[in-house]
Amino acid sequence: MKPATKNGRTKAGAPRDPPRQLVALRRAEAAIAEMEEEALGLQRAGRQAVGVVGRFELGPMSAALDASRLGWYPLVAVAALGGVDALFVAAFLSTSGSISLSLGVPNLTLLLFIRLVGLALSGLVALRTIRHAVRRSRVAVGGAALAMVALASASVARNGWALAAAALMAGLGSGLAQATHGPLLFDHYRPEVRVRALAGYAAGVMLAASAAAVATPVADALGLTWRSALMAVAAVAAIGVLAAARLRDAVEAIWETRVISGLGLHRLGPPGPGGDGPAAVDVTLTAAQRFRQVLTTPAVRPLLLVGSVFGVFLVTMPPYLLAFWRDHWSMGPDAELGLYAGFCLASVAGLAWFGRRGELAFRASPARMVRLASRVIFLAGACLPLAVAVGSFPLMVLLLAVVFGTLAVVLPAVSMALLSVVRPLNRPHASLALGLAVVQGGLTGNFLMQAFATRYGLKWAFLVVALGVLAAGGAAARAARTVDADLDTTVGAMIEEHELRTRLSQGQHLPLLGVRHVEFSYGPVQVLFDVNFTVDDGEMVALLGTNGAGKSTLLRLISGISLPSRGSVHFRGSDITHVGPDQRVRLGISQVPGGRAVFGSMTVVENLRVFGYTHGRDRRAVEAGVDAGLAAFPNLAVRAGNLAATLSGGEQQMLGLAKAFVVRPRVLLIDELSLGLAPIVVGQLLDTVRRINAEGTAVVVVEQSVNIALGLVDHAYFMEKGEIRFDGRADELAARPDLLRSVFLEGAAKRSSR
Amino acid sequence: MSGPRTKRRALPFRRALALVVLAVGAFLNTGCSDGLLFAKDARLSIVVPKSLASVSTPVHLRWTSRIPPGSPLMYAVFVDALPVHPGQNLRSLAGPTCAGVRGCVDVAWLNRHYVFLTSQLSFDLDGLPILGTAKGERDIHKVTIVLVNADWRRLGEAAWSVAFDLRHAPQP
Repeated sequence: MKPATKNGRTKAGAPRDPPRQLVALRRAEAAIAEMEEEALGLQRAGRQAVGVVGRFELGPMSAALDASRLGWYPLVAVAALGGVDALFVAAFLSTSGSISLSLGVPNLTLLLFIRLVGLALSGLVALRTIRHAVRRSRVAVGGAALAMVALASASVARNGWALAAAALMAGLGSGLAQATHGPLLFDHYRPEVRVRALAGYAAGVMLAASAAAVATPVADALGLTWRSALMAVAAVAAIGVLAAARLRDAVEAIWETRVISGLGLHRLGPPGPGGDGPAAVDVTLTAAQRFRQVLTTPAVRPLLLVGSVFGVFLVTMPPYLLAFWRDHWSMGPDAELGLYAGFCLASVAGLAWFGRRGELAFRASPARMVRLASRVIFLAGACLPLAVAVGSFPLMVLLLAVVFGTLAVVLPAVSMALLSVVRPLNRPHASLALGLAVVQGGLTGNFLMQAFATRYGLKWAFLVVALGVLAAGGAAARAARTVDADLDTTVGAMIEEHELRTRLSQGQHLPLLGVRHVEFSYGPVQVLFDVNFTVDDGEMVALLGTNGAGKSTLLRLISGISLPSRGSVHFRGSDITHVGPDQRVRLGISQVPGGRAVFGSMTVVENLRVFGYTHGRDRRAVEAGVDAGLAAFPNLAVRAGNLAATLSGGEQQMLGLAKAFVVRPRVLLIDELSLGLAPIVVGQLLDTVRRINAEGTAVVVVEQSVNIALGLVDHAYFMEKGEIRFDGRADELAARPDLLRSVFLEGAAKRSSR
Repeated sequence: MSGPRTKRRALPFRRALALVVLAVGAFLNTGCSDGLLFAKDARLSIVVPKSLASVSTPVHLRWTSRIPPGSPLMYAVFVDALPVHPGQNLRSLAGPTCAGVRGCVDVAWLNRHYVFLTSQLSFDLDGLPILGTAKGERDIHKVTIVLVNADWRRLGEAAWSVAFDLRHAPQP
């Protein structure tokens, strides 16, 4: 083993012992393989961590909530907050006709769009705030308070601008709500009761919609205007905010962590203080990277599509239903709103049914729950056109009650599936994405219904909505196909992460860089297949292969320029699969791309200073790096002030390599070092590569020339058609003519065999 | 409350202050002052037609009013259109080029755009456009009455409206 400094970096100039190093790497790889096998074996047990417990006796809700040691309060509080969030839209729908007449403001749909903008803005702020350790419960209560103020503000609005300000404020409050409500429920309650908790939350939303709908008829009966109705709804919102004021926060993913830490990993022993292996890096993903990670989960996109139908149900349909009842059943405004409020109560009944059925289904398998939701959505899609076509009022009411009772289950079903298949730390992002999908669905649905109602009439508009609902049922069925596998992937990653941390804390040796089971496609063309690639600290590795084998693509995945469709990239014990390329450079992964990878319009020194951003404001470190880079290549020092575009090919490659002296990476990835260069130049470059490696930087060299590559390294990989065909000592690869028979290596193979 | 909790720092004062400022600002933006109508204005009540009644052309509109006869106030009747904002002049319906220009918009122009001015308590509507029957649906129209002064400026935010179902004579 190489002597290593405290932070794991090999000391400069330390003698290398390649065979022993390879043995250590093999041990580390074996440890990872063991971890993966174990994760696979523990997966079934691990699924319990997210509620797939397989038990079919539910027991009373109160007992299940008590098992989480928190009782009803968090559920009631979060449902009240959800209700407050829903009040603005529901109250707005109920009063918009009167507002338009009173203030002469046309097209109030625009307010929904403004609300969506506010939602997106504050949602992102909420994600950032949560990451900065502000209590989520405070964020949630603050969001509801904003919604309440928005309602009060709308009740005294004098014009469209004031309404727009209120809508923006309501959106800002909603963003805070969307990012926190689902995750709060998930963290407060045990996994096996979450479906019922989410159904209870959705019931809070529908009850609020019902209350807001009856506000206008009640105000009418009392001889009051829409202003009084909105003020009354604001008062209800204030009660909701006060009721939730005592809501406490919960540790993120506490139930999952408890279960996973208790899963047969006892043989590892307790976590230790850390050893002499590479210290784990603290990887913090940005909100955009977390959103990307969420969206790359296969089930997520179809689930979001299903969620958008809930927006159609909650936001789009009500005003058109009121118009339909007025036009076809001669109902007055108050009767319409009363009927709508009754249908909202039918939704609560549907949610009560789904809470238990969905819970049972989820315990058996998340796919079963999503399939149940899919069937229910199909039923709604079938009942809706019938409801607007039948000539019997009781039958219309019955069919619409079924529609309301069934479509309401979309919210708990999608929330449960979505928040279960993403990593616990990504739940606020998934939850916000769902919130955006719901509002966006409402807006899109509104435009569609408006267009069809104007051109073809209301019945046709409802038929279009029914088609959308059926499509959502199909999307749910599609999500059901992958949701179990997604859940397993997430659980497996959580188990693996836990074990990695435990092993690291015990000082067990892990590779510096580990690419595990990576797959990648350019569009429909898959170019990497289950690739495993490992690099140890201070190691020099060659990556060889035919043209188009996927070598450069693998480097792009390691440096973060591309994202794998499957698999993971670990660096110093942390999962960096979704970390951006700039962050990876800061962590210590740097790439010298193939070809002339310099900024041609900048001078040599400026090219080097560009990479000084990794040192932050430490100008002295940047200048020291630039000096070291120029010292390594005297040719560059002479032309320090020249534009990079005026350098020769060899000098440009030197400049690309010199950045390693500025960045000081832990791993340097070099793509096609010798391509098109004279042997004497290649020799100079190789000397520098050896020097960089001797100073402790692990080097991965992608080379076309087998002579150069195998003469430089002790450990080599050989790739063909996107798969790793060989992983071992360089001299062993040189003795494998079956592999080196490939076109560009043919000559080298002959020389080796001599 | 017992159970899993985190020890996280409280919402920073500056953020709370920003929220309060935002809320107060939005509230002030609404022009919170007198003149807002929280209770229904009972000065006017539409008597004919009843809500969603089936009528045929000419549609006879009639309302009762507590506004004393001889008042300079007039009733502006909007058919299938939103009324102007409170305080806005009917002339603004013609767009910004006519704003403040006397004679730019006259009664005939308003009538062509289904806005009618009257001091009487009844009114007959004729020549209404067909809205819904072409799609096989009922032809529901909505009439809204607001008060305007002698200068055609809308007074207050009170508005009275009624929807009715227009039955057309069968086409020959």
